[in-house]
Amino acid sequence: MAQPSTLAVWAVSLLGLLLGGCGGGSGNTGGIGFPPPSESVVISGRVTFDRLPFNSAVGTGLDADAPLVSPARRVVVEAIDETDRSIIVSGSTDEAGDYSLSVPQNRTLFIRVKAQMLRGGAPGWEVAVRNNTNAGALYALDGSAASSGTANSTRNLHAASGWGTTSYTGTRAAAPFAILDSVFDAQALILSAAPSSEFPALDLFWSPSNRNVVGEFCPDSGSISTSFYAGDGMQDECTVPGTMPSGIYILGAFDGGAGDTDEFDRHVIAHEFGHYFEDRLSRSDSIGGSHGPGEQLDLRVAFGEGWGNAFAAMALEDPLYRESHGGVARDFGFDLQADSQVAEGWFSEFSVGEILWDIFDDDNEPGDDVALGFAPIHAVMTGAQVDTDALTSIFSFASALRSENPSHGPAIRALLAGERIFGTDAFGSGETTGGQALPVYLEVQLGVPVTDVCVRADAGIEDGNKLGNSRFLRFENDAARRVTIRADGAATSAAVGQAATDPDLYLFRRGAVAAFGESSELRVEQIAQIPLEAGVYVLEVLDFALSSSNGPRCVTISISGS
Amino acid sequence: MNDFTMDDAVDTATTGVAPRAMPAAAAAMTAVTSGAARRIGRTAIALLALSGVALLSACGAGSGTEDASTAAPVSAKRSAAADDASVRMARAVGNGKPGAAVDIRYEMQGKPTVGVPTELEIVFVPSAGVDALNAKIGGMDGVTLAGELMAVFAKVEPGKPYKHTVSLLPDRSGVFYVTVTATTQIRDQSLARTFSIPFVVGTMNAQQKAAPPLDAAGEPIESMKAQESA
Repeated sequence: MAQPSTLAVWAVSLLGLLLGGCGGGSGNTGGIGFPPPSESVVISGRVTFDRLPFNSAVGTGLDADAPLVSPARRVVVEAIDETDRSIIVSGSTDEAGDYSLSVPQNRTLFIRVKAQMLRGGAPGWEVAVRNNTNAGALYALDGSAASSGTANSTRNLHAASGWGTTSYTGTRAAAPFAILDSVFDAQALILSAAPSSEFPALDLFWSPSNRNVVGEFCPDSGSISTSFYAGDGMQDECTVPGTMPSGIYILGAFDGGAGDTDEFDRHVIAHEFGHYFEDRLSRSDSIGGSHGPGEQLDLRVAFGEGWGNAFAAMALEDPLYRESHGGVARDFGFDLQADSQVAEGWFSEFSVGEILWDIFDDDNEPGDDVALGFAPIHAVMTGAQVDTDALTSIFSFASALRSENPSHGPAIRALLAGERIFGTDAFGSGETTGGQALPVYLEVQLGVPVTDVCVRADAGIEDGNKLGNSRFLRFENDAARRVTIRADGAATSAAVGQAATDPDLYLFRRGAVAAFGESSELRVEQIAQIPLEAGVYVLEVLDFALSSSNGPRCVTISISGS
Repeated sequence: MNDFTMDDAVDTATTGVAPRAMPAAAAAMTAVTSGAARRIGRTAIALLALSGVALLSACGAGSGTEDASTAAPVSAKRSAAADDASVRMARAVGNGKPGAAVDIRYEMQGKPTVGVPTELEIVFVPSAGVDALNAKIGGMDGVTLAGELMAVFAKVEPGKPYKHTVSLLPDRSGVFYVTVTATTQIRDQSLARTFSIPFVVGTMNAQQKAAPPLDAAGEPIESMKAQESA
């Protein structure tokens, strides 16, 4: 595993610097080179946490009785004055979990380890694990107060799992540090390709009360539905609804051994970090919603979730995704190195995940002659994928990857063909897999109506994110003009489908919504007289009234303008 | 942040529905059709994205319209529903982990009472592609479950409800959860999803949580005791 280049950099807090400058303390002695004042002593030690590993056999859950004592890497460490609770000095651990702080002699203090990684500049990051059911409090591991004495000393701190013999009986102090440790690995993957990455702040919210309460969504009380990534502006459904903090929310309720806890599920954490990466450092047009391998999904969702699965595999160098449930007793998994052959195609998160993993990994099994590593993937995700005129999908990704790595083009095509993906460009032109959802994008031109644009629920309808729930049209606007876009519920024959009764329209320009229409007017939707710059647009069409029992539902699309 | 109240749990203790357990869609699904839930999510994405367009425009990075913010709510009915739009605005659906392709609903035959068995009917609705499903039902301290705690449906059809009933017997007052872990089979691939069915026994008073202490830098802290050695 490639690691960041700044392995032993010590982050000294401003407070620590100020105190050190005043002779009231010091920065730490781990590498920056502040000489300890003569009245100072050094407290050093190692910070560790329990990681509950998976049992070797998939399905048998975590081995809670044999925790792996793991270093808490690059976490914030502080010396806290016991009397006035001031922060005497701050530093961080290195990759071995070791820290060293210079503190005044004979000061009664304790060592606090925050579930936080901080580093300014480039590379830089600001990651914290917080309790969403306790006002977003930052988890911290506190040692006991004792005098710093007159000689250097050692204080090792350990975050225990809290596991008893058959259940958790103590504070689950290891959980926040296990979560942070998975983020460390995920960041390291990014840094291996872009060593100067500046990661936008990321909060991860975990609580022993986080569970999927049926019919509720209120993170403040622990009702979080599932482990997920929330971007900016997402609202909760609490008694008094509000905008929830962005970040990664993680299940944690043990519930007598029946619950779903994810703090030790490294692939889950890294999967969600993959969504954070897309949101903050790349681009995702995914509409989110429920999903799983084997389902036929909207192409945007399929790519986003396949990316999440593959990113986790790459970050952890382990293609076997495992997720515990039933307390710690059970788990399920899927292997991206294996060819599942379930619902293969551009709409499958399995297919996307397997392709991305095969592009990354060194193994060259039959059909996989690609081993590019992460850097070319990162280059596409932060470059062409951000700027594509198409929606983000395996087509846009693969098209850019081929373009940027022409010598590997044929092998990449073969890899996609192995998953029954044949589209030749970012818009999936020429694709033959997908039945009634083909072509991936219809073409619409000014003044030329397109009939029988039909949406369907054959692949499901939950969250409106399944294959066929929406249809997409490519519109190339050759000059700046005002246009009116109409969707009229109609089908040219009963065999094709029935007229959509409540069509909706969304017009995208490079993933951003340029305009939309969501009226409830019967059998028609219109976006009138909108000014459009020249460029390629994607029009999404759906029917609000589509259900599992009434598809296909069809419209005629027309665009008029001067 | 809002404190969870016992009233919240009471409100949902009788019946409930889980739209495949994705954030934000949950409450929407209890009140509206699935289509409405989809529209809420779409609107959220649309409006959030529109704000992004505006930002891009400001940066000169290009946008779809000269004035996207005014161009957005164009249909008469949509424009008239501006307030509604603002309510819907941020109800985006999150990007969650992979999970079983199944919804559940439930109904309790009365309010659970200490010492009195209450029947709980759980309805599973598998999604398209699911071949089979099973569910393991678990209780917690304070609640004894009776009946078959493993439901097995060897062959299922998408969208069709599959019912299973257990009995619960609380031995004290409090807030409890019946945990249902549903596992779906799609060809050779199985995935699980865990649901918590809430219920309240007795009358619970809402309790105000104490705010977490702040450290010297003003950061709220949840302190955990370390195991320490020299």
